[in-house]
Amino acid sequence: MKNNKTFRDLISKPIQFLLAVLVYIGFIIFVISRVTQDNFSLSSIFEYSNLLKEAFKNTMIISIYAVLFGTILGFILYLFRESKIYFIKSCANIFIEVMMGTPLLVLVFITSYFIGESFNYSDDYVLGIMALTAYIGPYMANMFKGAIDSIDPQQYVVMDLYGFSGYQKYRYIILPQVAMRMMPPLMNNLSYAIKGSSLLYVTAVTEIFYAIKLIQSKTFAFTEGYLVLWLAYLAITLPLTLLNKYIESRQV
Amino acid sequence: MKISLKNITKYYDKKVLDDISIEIDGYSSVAIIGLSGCGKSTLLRLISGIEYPLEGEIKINDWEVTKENEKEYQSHLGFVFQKHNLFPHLTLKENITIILEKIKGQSKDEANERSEELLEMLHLCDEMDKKPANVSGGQAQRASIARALSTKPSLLILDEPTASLDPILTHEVLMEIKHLKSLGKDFIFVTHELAFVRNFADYVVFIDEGKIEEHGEVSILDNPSTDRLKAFMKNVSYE
Repeated sequence: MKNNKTFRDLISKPIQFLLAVLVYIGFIIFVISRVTQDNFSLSSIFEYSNLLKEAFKNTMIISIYAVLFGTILGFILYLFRESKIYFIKSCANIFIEVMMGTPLLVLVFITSYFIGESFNYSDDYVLGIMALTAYIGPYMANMFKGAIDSIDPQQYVVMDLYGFSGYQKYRYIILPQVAMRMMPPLMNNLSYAIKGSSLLYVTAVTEIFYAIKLIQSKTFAFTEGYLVLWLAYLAITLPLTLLNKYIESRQV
Repeated sequence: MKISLKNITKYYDKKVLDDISIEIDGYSSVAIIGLSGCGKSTLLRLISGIEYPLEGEIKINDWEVTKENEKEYQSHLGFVFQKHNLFPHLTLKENITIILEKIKGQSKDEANERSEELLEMLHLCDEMDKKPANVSGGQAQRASIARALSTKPSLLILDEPTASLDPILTHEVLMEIKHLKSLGKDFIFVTHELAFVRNFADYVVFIDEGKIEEHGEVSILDNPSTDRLKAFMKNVSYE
């Protein structure tokens, strides 16, 4: 029997968690205090709260569209890659490999300045969503493959015996099972898209990063700007992560 | 039921079925027995049109089992597999209604009524709204029997329906299958349960190393004429 209580036993878990949070906050305060010459004040940033709100909204809209279209593209890529026609299979494979090897920033440039230009199309929001969609699609294709492959092959035998058509197999049996398994990766990708959308500032899309840059150039509140920027992303991605964990725990 | 197999040969990596021929007529319940790996499950898959032989012809009742009339033929069959193979995201009842409603085009009410009637017949009243993962293996297997019956098949094919169950659940499932005989359907099944074969089958086909070694009415189990079946009966009687 051990009687001498250690640090581990004395303090409850929530308090230990809070302490861990404080360590990071302390570090941030230290860094801010070292780099801020004038008085640290967030008020100048929040004078532009309307711009910030719009940017926040745009980031969300862009990300949700990107994940939505990325999922659809991913499913199409998955189907193409499973095709018996080698040409179609190759189209999907080349797209997937090239996209996975391309940094998102490069993709945003190419989409906006070259592809958009060549089709005389210049809506940077739409082009930005396209770039993110193309970036997310291949990852979704892989996740579809993983989720669909995990379905017991015997289920296909049963479906064949009862005369399911190709469409009916996917609609009633495969996709409902896949949807459950896809929720966690889907959430991850949304978080990915939100972070990735910050790169759209290079084409002057009014998302959070661009808005903060604009505010900084007007107020010279650089430290405050980056802090708000950072917190804004965390405010979206952390709840997503928690939601994701909750969904995962319910599936077991 | 009429079963006609002519010169059936099937290879995987090696020869699994070797030039099998047999004619059976006038029996409603045919058991295929033999040691594990003898080819009996393969033969059942060929009879079901899940796979096709390299050579040979299969005729069951008036259907020729070919790729061309596979759909038509299989719509008259009901299947029970080693594992229940229920769709895991659907409840026991939905596993039946989805086939009746979406595939066979029955109305929602019809499908509900039929599925409830079958699940009640198999004593699953309290389980019909549970998912396969939340019921016992025996209950799931009984639900799969209900599913097999749902399309009103004239021939039921059972591939070791109790292979994945413990003895108590095995008994429970076999009792239910026994009751099905009164439905006046035909049965072809593979099993290791010889007691069940004696009780349920009218005709027995014994396969050994890819060949039909002996076949005849159930009495051949008690008076085997070939050495292979004698040896087989001797071995299983120790179980």
